[in-house]
Amino acid sequence: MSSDPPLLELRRLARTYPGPPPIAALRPTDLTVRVGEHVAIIGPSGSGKSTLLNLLGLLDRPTGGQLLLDGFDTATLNERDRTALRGRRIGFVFQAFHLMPHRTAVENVMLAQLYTDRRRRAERRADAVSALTIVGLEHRLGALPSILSGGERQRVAIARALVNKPALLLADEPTGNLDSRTAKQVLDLLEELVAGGVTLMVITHDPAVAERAQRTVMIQDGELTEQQPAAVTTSAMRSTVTDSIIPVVTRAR
Amino acid sequence: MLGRRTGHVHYPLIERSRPRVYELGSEAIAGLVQRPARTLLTMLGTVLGVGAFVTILGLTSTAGSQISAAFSVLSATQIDIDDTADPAAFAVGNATTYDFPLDADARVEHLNGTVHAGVWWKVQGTESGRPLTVTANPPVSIASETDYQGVQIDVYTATPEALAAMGPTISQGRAFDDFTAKRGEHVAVLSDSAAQRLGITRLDAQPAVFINGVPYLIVGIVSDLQRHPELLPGVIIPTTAATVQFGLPQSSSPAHMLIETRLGAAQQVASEVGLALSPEHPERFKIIAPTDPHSLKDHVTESLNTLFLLLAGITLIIGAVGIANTTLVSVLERTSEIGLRRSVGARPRHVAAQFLTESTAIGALGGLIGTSLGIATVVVVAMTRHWTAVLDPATVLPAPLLGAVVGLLAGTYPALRAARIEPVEALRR
Repeated sequence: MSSDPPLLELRRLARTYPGPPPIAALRPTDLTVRVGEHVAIIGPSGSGKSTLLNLLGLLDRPTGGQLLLDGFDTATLNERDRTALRGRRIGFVFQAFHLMPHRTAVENVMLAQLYTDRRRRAERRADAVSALTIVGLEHRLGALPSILSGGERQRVAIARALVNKPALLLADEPTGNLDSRTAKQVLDLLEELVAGGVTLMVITHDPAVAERAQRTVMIQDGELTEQQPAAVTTSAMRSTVTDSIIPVVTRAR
Repeated sequence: MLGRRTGHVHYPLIERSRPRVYELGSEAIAGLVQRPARTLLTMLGTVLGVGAFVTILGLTSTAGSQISAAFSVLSATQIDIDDTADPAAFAVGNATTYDFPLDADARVEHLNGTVHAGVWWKVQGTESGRPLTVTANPPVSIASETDYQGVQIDVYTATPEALAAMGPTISQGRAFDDFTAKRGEHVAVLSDSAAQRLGITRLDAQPAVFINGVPYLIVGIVSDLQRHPELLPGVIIPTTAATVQFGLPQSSSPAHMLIETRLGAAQQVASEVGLALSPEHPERFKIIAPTDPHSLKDHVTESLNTLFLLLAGITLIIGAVGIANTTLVSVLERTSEIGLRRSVGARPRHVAAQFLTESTAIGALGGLIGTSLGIATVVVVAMTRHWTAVLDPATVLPAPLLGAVVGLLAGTYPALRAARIEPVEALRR
């Protein structure tokens, strides 16, 4: 298993906005994230955090370099395959939660299954319920976002990101809209998930959030600087969650 | 579907995003149900437009069928011909006018489709201004004729065929026939009321009426005339006897011809009868044929259609614009939702399909409600007018579909806009 490629590999990855004038939002960057790692990317606003997040989440195309997911370059994929890969391999957690206001907690979680999961509704619902159980909201299945607290809303969003058992959880300022006590609870939850085998990348400007990570990568003016080498061996962290991923990506024979 | 590894290894097969169709449908319906007030207001234009369509078409077909019902078999088989006074005759001071040929009845009866055809007119006294006297008994003396207080009864004359064409209901005796008419016999047919006023109740004693003192044998009493019932209060005598006694009809009461045709033949007979009567001067006859039921109905339909269908069309366009507007606003409002859907694997076409389904559902629902309201309107109007509501399934059944098409067209642009939204932009909010 040690010969496994890293989950995520950035090779001279760059993104320039055409302008005019052209803006090098992300200068050619190398970064490797292994399965089960918890990486924080920290930087002030305008540093290129969002650009990096969009590239990592396959929401945007790089203008240079390669972005390898599972050892394969995603930059050459067409839009349809990138969309499918995004839906199946990446879970997003946003600062603004992005919950549907008229849908219950479990319905919001099930939205993530809508486009990629063709199983029967009852089976999908069972998965959504277990995702909500993981984030500790099994008692709030039928609650609308409007009656949930901020922390609960973010946990619903995390459950939604987890329900497809993604390879990578991308969290963009996950505590940005929360008070410090609730923020701590959410960070605790994310840490538990990492301990359970989830690969997590958190993008933040908050050092308190960043210091929870095993590695912190500083981004400044579109350039990455590794702050702290990986202290924990990742293979030891691997366990149930990622192993039970439905093999949506299978090796071509 | 296949990408490239860093080297030359193909990317593993990626199962593409394929939502279940019913899931996309229920997403769209959820989008409508979650904003019920807006959904209802949005479909208002379609409701009005489709409702107007159904109402107009329904009322047109209802009214049209009432008009055609008014064309009874009776009036559809009747042609009246008026003898228009010949201006030349007036110029020479000729008071009498009669343009019908003597064999008018026979000429017209030769026309295919004619059942009965005959000439009739109202008899005037020989000296103008002096009314005819009709009495049940011979006048005491000819000299006192003017003083005699006779009953005012109109005298008409008709050929046997004209009488037959009038469709008399004979309560006693019989109508006069060709034989008596040709012989110029003085016979008369009396109406019920005239007989009553003259005190004649039975025909077995062979009573007579005296018209200006000349006796006419009463051969029959009619209780009803299907055509020209205005002759009912009078006495009807054959034209042969009338011409001898009173002369040809005067221009103040010109002659008429009544033709009974077979059903459906009236238009044809009417087009031929002028020439048949007088090849030289067909224009001297004013031919009153029953209006062609088809043309009348079509005319009504057409005039209603062109005006109101235009209005309904405009309403539908306004409805479409309303749907397009609301859907566009909805797309802009739900930008972050669209971004979220894209982030969980929705392809642009899935987003477009969802919004297109929403607008089509609004249109279809509006069309359905509009159709119902339209039908209700037609039924209520028909009830208040004591009409029979007539709804053509060919117009009513596709009406909800019309709404759906409007919704589909209206939703196209907003759906394309929604599909083009970049998830990056959408999630920034």
